[in-house]
Amino acid sequence: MNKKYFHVAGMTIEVRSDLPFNKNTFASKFDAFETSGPLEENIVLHHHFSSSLPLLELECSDKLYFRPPWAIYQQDEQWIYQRIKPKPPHKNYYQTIVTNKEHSHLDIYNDDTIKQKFLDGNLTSLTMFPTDQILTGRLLAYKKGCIMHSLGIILDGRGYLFVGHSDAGKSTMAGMMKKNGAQVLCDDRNIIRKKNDIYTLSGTWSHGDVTDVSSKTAPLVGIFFLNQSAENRLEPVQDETTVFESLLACMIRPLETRDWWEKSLDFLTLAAGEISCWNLKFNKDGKVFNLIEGMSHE
Amino acid sequence: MNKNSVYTPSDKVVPRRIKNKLIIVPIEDGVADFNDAMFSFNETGTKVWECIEQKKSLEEIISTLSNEYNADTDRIEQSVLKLITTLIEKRIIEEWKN
Repeated sequence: MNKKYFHVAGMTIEVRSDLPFNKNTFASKFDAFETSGPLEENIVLHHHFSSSLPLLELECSDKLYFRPPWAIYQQDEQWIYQRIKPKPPHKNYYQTIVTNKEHSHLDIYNDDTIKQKFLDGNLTSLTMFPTDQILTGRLLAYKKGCIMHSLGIILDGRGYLFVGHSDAGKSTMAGMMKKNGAQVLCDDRNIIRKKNDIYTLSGTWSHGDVTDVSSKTAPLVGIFFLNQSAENRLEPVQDETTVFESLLACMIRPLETRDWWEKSLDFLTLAAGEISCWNLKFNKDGKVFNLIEGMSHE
Repeated sequence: MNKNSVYTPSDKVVPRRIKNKLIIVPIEDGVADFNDAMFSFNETGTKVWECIEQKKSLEEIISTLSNEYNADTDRIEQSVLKLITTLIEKRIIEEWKN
């Protein structure tokens, strides 16, 4: 069996393939995440390759999601994902994925187009979906977690999350933090989880302008909502509803099904009441680092 | 609007209570500004929502609120009808067909 392991957010993703891997199969951004064996929490992705995708009887299945290019069905204890063509009859192409409900074991059936991409190498996702967030975003809902559109850093062993959409200044902030010695986890997508009653922050390989990524995990100490300003200033946000709405606005939402929404909103409701959050006004003079560093010494 | 009508939360929304505030989150994608699409209830609105969840008719909702707040029934009725109309327009609730 051909296997590779990747470490993210306190779990491993075990990628199995019917075809052998080579050193260029996955893009270099995954190097920081590759590890030698499984952790206790291990997610299995098994890539199968065939000229034709499996024909599945879906008439008796619950259709949970149908928005080309994706359809999701539930059948007994299995979930079936199909990549579908945009126009009717929405023929299944590229990939069919069969997974258990918790998304901890996925059989991914790939057609010849995807097989060729695998052979070409330099893959930018482990799943060979357009983005791995489709898997990780859904999976984390079952594990009290979510992916945030954010910058994550570790400073003095403590994790800090800077939340904001595109153009909020995440990459600028990453540069200023890095220059002063903080470790950047990822400048665009980070994972927060509650595990053993502790909130943790972990990086992902889905970076923005700053290519530094790290598989490290740290206790999440605080979340900052980014606001570009003429001054550098921290203001605590104590209203849980405001925190909830701000987090929700920046939570990555992959192929939303009702059960995913309910689990994710349960998590955000908890997080909004339990994680310290601040509005962070900042300019580009770099002195904002002192504010963050000051917190890490509290 | 028929006062015997009964309404039910749409299956396209998920309600969540944060502290004492009720927030309705739309669960369809393609929403341009997500925060604008969310709906927050004040205390009276939350009471109306609880009545909707209990499948109370419009008349029963008005009666419940009139008793609860000991206020002028006509004023309560106007407020409830306005809120129900807004919730229908925003597709947060729909008429319940038993």
